[in-house]
Amino acid sequence: MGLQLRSADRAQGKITDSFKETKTVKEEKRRNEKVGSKRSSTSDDENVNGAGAGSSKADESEYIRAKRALHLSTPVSLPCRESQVEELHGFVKTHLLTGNAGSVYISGAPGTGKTAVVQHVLQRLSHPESEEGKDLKKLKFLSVFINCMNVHGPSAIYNEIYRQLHITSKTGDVTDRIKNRIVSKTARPIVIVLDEMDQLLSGSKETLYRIFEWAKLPGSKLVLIGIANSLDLTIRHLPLLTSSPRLASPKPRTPRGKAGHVVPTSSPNVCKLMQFPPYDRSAIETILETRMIEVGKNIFEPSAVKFVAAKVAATTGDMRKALNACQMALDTSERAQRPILKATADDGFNSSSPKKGCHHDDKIGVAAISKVLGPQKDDGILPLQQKILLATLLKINKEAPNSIAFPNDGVTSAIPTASFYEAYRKVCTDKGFSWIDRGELSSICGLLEDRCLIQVTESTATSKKKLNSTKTSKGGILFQPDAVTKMLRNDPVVESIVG
Amino acid sequence: MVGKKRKIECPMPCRESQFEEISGFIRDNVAHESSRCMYVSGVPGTGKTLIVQSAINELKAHSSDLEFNHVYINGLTLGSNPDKLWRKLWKELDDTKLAPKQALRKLLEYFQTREILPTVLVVDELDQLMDKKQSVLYRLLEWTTDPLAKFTFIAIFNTMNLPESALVNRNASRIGFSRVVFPPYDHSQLQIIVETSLLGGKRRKELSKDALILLSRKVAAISGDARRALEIAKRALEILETSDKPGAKAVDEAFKELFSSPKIDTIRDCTDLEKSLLEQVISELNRTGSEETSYGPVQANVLSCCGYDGKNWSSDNILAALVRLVNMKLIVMESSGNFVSSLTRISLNVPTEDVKFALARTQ
Repeated sequence: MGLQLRSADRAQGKITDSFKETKTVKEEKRRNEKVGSKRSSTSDDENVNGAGAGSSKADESEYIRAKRALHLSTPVSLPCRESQVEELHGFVKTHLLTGNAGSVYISGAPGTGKTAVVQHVLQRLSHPESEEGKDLKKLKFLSVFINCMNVHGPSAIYNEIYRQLHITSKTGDVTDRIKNRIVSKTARPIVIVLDEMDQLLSGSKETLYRIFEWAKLPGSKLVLIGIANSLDLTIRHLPLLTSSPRLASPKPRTPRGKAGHVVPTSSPNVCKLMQFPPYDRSAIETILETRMIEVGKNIFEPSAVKFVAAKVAATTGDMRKALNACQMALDTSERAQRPILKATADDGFNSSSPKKGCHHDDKIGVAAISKVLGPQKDDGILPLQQKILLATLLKINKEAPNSIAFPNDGVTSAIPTASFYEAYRKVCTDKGFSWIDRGELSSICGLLEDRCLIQVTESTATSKKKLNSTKTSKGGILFQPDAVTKMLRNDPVVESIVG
Repeated sequence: MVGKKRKIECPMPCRESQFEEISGFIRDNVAHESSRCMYVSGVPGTGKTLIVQSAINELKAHSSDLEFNHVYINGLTLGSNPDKLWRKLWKELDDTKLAPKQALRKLLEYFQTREILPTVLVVDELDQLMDKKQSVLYRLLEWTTDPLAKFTFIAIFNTMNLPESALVNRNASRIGFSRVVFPPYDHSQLQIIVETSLLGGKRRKELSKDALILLSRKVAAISGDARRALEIAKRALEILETSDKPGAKAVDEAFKELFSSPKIDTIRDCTDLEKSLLEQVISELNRTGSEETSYGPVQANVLSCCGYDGKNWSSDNILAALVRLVNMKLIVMESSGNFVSSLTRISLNVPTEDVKFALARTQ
């Protein structure tokens, strides 16, 4: 079994070899996969399982299908991003066809479909058979997709590009080889995608400059696509590339040996800027509805979809958040269904179709969604001493305006720990509670900090001391009176203290 | 199917709902081969790690139809370099040791393979991965958005609002909403936990009912930390084995042992001269309003005060006391060789309040 699999794998490897150049990066990676083949040969039974799962896919419940449809990876279609897709597609296509170099910088908040659009466009370009453009058939290009979060340091990124370009030449260092490949007249054009490009900005900006320069070399056939969150990254960090059409080197030290060849091109080879706005309400609605069409049935009530869209659009416009919220709502309602499912399975009637319980007509409504998107509730179980501490803080805060001892309001300036402890001790003796030591107090303050109810500030003097010193008493406590009051509302202990 | 029908038991009392939620989440993900992320938060000692681990182990043991790789990594073991996580993760998956960067490349390839088993990664103490770029976390979350990776990521941390406050934008976008909160235990829950965990051992003596109630109430009033409660229970049992005290008394004693601060005790046990010296240091600090003071005025003050008290201390005595306090690390002294002059800077190494508190109690 293992052998068969391995040979099959190899055969597939051969096929992919012939199409190597047109393959997208993902598939490239899969081809290069060695671990995978090793794994598949060691765990045969898993493959059998996989086949079994495949056959049972027909009677999958709607929940599972819906959950699958709400995935966060690159979707098949990109509604509400048609214009961006067309723009980018047109840009890359014309540049590839004419053999000109070009660069695009795509900016936008997280979850606005930047990476998805780029991957979609590359996919479309690398499989032109499915598209209308016949002229693209003769177009073969090599694409390099790099997520800059995955590489460490400039040399690593050069190496990664080098690796993905399958360069055979052995002259010069890595950057020279890549450069030679890019300006080579015979080789195919290249598309390099740098996702999360801002990561290259740590340290010197030379790397980014140099990569953008490649797209400006005379005879270069490189289309460079940079993706990042900040709108003004190119303006802030790459002013030389965006503002002036002339090639300007950031440092006098241009790559060895090639400095003489660098001639400023007259073409307006400025980096093209594209901006992805956050998804608005109707866009999110449309996307969610499209995803539900994939399921075949709308499992969400229309009002629920509207609600998600409105909520997410109002805060971030982040599609991932919307999809996640829907997934969560699915999860919770599926869990609510589960006990019924178990009961029917146990009494033997439905043994043949245990999933029957899932075929219900209840759709997921606004309530389920609002539970997910609503503010996270702290369960409110607070140990007694922590309640007393918070109540003391509230009391101090309440008395603050008239008191000379505590001129602070707890929000802007910290209540000193020392005076806080005294106040706490007084509260304890007044109300007849037992109290805790100073040492414990700081550990409890840590716990309250973990629950985000207070914030402990330390004195700046602590770090100055060399010998293993403990925290000094100069620290203080900051807190949000509103949040604490809300949490402790209707608590008899707290009410008796604060009054 | 047989494995599936068997009811999976929660190993710990009072955490059934969390257990159910976590094991259900993992089971769904593994069964549907999807990639998701869940985060588990709660203050220390509320059973987060235990519940997550046992949920996974139970699934492994009792659901024969579910196959997955399970990796547990504690953020604290990564030291200051979160990238080490790749090395650990890869070692668990492939049993080969690689440098972090190579391991990451292998992992990136690995998670694009079709035939892989679903992976369940638990990262405890996630706060440790929060470096400036959060690139490690980004990578992990990126896999949770890729169905091909079959990657279930469970993040455990203490801070309630970590996803809202500490994450960079690109990570906040990816983390999702699946969250399980572990609240602190209340006293009845603590009582059940202590009772059940003490049942197993063979002990000559047992904690009486009222001792148990006292213990659980005390811990619940302060932190609701089950680990703490069990520690105290164990110590109380040890005390009971060596003495004939009633249970409640033993609990009280154990409490004092575990909670009392050694520094305050040390100050309390100081000689009169040392105490007087500490007092003068404090008053000098108060007077100058600074963090440190010089030895000269302190010595002069001690000398003049001892005149009032009718004590006959010489400046040599005071110097010796100072050196003793420095050795106890109650006072930090600017080191200028072995020579102590009146200009030598000294400062307290203990919070001023603690010293005041300890001194006040003894008088």
